[in-house]
Amino acid sequence: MNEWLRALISVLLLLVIMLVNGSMTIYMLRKVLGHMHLRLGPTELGPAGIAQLIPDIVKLLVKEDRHPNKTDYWIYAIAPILVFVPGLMAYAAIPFSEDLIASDMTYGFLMTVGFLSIIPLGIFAAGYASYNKYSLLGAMRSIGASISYEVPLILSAIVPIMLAGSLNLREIVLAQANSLWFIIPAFPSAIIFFICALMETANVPFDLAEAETELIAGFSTEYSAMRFGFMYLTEFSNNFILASLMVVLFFGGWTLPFVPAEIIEPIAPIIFVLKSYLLIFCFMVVKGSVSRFRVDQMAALGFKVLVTSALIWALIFGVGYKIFLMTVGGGA
Amino acid sequence: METWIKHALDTMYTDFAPGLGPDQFDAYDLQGWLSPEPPPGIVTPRSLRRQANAPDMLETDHFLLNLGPSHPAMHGALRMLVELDGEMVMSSEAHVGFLHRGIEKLAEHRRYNTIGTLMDRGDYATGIMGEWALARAVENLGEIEVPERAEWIRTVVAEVNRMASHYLWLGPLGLDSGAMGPFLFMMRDREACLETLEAVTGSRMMFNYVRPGGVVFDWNKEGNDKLLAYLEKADQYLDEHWEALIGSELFHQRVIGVGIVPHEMALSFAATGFIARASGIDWDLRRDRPYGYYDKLDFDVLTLDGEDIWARTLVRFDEMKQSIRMLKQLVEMGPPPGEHIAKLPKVLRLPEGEAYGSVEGARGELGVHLYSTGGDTPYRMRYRPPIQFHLAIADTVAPGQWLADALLSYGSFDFCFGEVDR
Repeated sequence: MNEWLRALISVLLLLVIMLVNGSMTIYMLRKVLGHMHLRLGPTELGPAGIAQLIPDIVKLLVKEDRHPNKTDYWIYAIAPILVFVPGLMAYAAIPFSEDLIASDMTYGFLMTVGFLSIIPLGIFAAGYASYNKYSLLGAMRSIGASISYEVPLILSAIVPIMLAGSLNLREIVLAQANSLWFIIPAFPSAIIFFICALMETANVPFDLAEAETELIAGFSTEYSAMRFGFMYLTEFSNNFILASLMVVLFFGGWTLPFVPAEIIEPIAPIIFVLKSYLLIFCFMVVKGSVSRFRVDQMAALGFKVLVTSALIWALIFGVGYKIFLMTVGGGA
Repeated sequence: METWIKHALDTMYTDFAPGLGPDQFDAYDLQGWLSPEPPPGIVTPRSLRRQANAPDMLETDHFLLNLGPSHPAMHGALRMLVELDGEMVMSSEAHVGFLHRGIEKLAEHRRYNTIGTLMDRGDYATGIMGEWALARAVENLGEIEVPERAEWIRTVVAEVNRMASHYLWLGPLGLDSGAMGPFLFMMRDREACLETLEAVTGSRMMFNYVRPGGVVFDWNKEGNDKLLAYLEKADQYLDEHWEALIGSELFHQRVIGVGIVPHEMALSFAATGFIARASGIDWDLRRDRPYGYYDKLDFDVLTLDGEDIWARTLVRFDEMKQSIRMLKQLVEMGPPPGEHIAKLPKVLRLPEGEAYGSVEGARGELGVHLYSTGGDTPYRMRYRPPIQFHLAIADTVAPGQWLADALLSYGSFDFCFGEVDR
């Protein structure tokens, strides 16, 4: 097949996956939070209210796209794209199964995290250009948050990467297919990664950038219509990216323990998506039950607790693993 | 409009007080405002300042931010004008009056038994308390004997209303701290309280139930059943709230040591109710100047020296527990026999003179001062809203806190703007 045609098809497919993920996560959030909060979430339209999403998206599409007078218009207009496109690109390296990868990059993990860290730039642009004080505060918080979670996020992934000996997400999964899921040897890393994922997806203990009761809607206060929709969808679809990264790093990707590869092969993407959504469910349960951190508390947690513990754990594990390989494994 | 200059959320907006130009504020010494800690020993309200142009060492400007009257975290129609240095609140200034309806003036043209409707619209979260305060003032001035049965009913509905009001505080406090779930659970419990009140008084909010001399309707079976059904679950519900919100580590992290109201400040600002009790002032009208049925009830008053939001939460949570305890005792006693309202003339005329009547409202001492010249309407009525006193504390303690903490601390005072603006 023509290389360009393949790329085009992958991008379109990923776009569909992202939009479906984004809207399914929105629906899921409404349902999960609803049931946690003595209410039902959407019920009226379609089975269990799932068709509620259609008018919601149509509403975003047909609403008037207006902006306040004093906005820095071009930045204001570009910011949602700056949020949306990296959010889409982050899907490129996600291995839904052994063959179903848009782009099998050697440094897949780094690329995914790199794309994700462009998003705060878009958010800052949105907050800055909106010419609104709440937006500006939200944007600054978002930058502050991103520098406090990205370092421990990457540090916590070092241990599974050491175990797999590769930064390629597919190879990390394959390394787990023949042995243990990395959650067992690298349990502390998984905890740190989970907390950082909550920060990255701006779930409740860390939803400072758009803390509703403090900053109205934070960086997206002045946005409407599909520009708002792009940022909203990206934020929700990021849940999936982080969950799937965690599935790849710690929960064996599309594999299942004790199940032979031939059985898994036809249903691998389904297993992968189900695992990811199970993790998203965990994010949402946390979201529905706890209070929010303060800005300084979040920074302190990121820098003092998470970075330190991730580093120390990586050091201990790295030394231990090397000794283990030299004595028992006899290689590396 | 010709006079319209900029939108109030505009970053460059400075014209917060039309007619007072920036040059009139140049002389202010801003040193005291630049330290993140409020100056020690300050117990009086700070002077008004409206110009935010104090560069700090990084040469970044402070900016002014309007919180409210329609900000999602502002409870009621309060507008807080805060000066921010980054996320740090440098000064805070309350602007009130959005809900002013002239209740005190309107009362001068109303007969004594119809002023209660105005009191409902004052402290709208606990209408019963306002009505009761007014009824007590009228009864004190007219030396009206209130039947035992009426006192029993008043005490029951007041305690149920107190519970409803406290739920409406604790839930949104959780919401302010970011926890959404507990709020919705508390709305369920508040619903049970409101249904009881609805069955007894016929209304969920604007009761007009407690009148001079007694109450309008007698205690009824439906209300009794609803109250019993609620009391059966109430303790378990409170435990749930403790588990879900108050006991949670993240909530502690947000409230302990935040929004501190020092003991001296609480004294000099005439704080009452839970603000006073959380700052070490052991004062509760129900115990210290008993009225209604409270002298026959067995209850404790919790006083803490914590001075922070956490202490206020604990004091109020204990109040809720005590309310349930009192309600259980009251239900066990049963309403005493007799009339539910004293025999009074249709048009009540009070003798010349003045009288003060007050109750321990949900937010503090809620009082009414009446001045009568002998007619069927008061010559002057004064409504003592506890929250107005606490509002002055709230904008004094805000400087030096993070924006998120300041909002939480405003929320912890349980503003009800019907009674501040009156």
